[in-house]
Amino acid sequence: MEAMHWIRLSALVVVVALLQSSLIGAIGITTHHIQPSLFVILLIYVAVHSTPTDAIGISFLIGLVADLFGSAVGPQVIAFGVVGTLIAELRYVVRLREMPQQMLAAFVAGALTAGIALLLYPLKGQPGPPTSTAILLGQALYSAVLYPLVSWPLDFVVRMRRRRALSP
Amino acid sequence: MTNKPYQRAKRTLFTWLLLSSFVLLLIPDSITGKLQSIVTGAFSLPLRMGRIASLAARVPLTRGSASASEFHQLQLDNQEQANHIATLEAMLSKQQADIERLSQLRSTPIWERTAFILADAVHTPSVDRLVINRGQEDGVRVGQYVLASNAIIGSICKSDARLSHVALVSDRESLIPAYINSEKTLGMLRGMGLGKVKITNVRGKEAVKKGDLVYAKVRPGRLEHPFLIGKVQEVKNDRADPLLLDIAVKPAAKLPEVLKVSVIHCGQPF
Repeated sequence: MEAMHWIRLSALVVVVALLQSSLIGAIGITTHHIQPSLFVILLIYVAVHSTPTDAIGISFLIGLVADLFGSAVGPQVIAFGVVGTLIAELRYVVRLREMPQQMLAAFVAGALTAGIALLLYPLKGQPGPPTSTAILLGQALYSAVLYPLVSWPLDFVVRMRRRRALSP
Repeated sequence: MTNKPYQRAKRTLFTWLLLSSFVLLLIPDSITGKLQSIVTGAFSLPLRMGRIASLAARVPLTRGSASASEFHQLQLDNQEQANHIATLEAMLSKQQADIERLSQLRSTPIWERTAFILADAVHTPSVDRLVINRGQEDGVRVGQYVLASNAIIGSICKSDARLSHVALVSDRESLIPAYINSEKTLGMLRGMGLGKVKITNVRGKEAVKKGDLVYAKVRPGRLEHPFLIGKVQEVKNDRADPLLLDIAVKPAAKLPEVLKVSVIHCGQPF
């Protein structure tokens, strides 16, 4: 992937982080204020539409930025990196071309990233964000439902579909 | 065959990135926290603008003849005044008791030993945390109480040079000595996460009812007079120990909507 594309993607990750940390609160639902994760949506989009090598790098980058804007550095880098790599590798087995498949991947990735990060927070000496299984699954479901709406503008910004390649 | 070097490079990249991530995870929070502060500080303006826009979007669109923003502001003002009155009543009651007890002595009025550091909420890293744009350079220290709408909303849990983290009263790390109505009913105000707050260690024989006011207990050097925290929302017997009460508290300030705060600085005024 050429340098310009990386710069554009990095800027997109920062914009997503700013939106996630501030504006996304406006679309929170239920009394628990369940919000979708734009990071998970971007992770799936990148894992599905880029080469596996690029997907690994960008997944870790998304996790790092999520941590920098979050409560502790470390847990989400690992969670996003591992899950992003898994999804990118999964493409060798399952073709994630259809939208429902990608939405299902977003749901699974949302639940997995949150679960892994929660397990890692104690290693950082922090209790981690308070949550329950219902909230965790609710956030993953909300991200999956929102995926088609967000992936459409992402097509215009990143234009990654044309670069799609499973392997070199 | 042609894919083998590519697969090896991919595995190497993943391994290196994963190892680096574990190193980041194991670096103490005091070091990585500075990195977070730099990033949050650099983007504080868009974060704050986004937060204001997000809060404005949550306000109902129509309420009678006033506009949504006017109605919301009036609601906040009303809540702020009510909280202030409740705090003043507690302060007056304590002062009257002090006057009766120490009428022969002269002392410095408590409010002259208290200063307030005004700050803006930059963003919320989690539901029960808040990042404010004041830090050690402004006199903010870990443990200081934080006010919003004339009620205590939490305390400083982490402070860097220019930014500080506030553990709201609902944060699971928050533990504040408090009392209900009078100092005879003392307990510990604990954050339960996700905006929930409880008071523990109150004996079942104490007369506590829904709507009673909850105040932060005076702590010399940190809080020189009682401040309102919230109201009793629900009272029931503790399942683990029937001799104690399980008291749910509703914070007096709307925690998710806090935009401006004051950090209580006791001791030498600025």
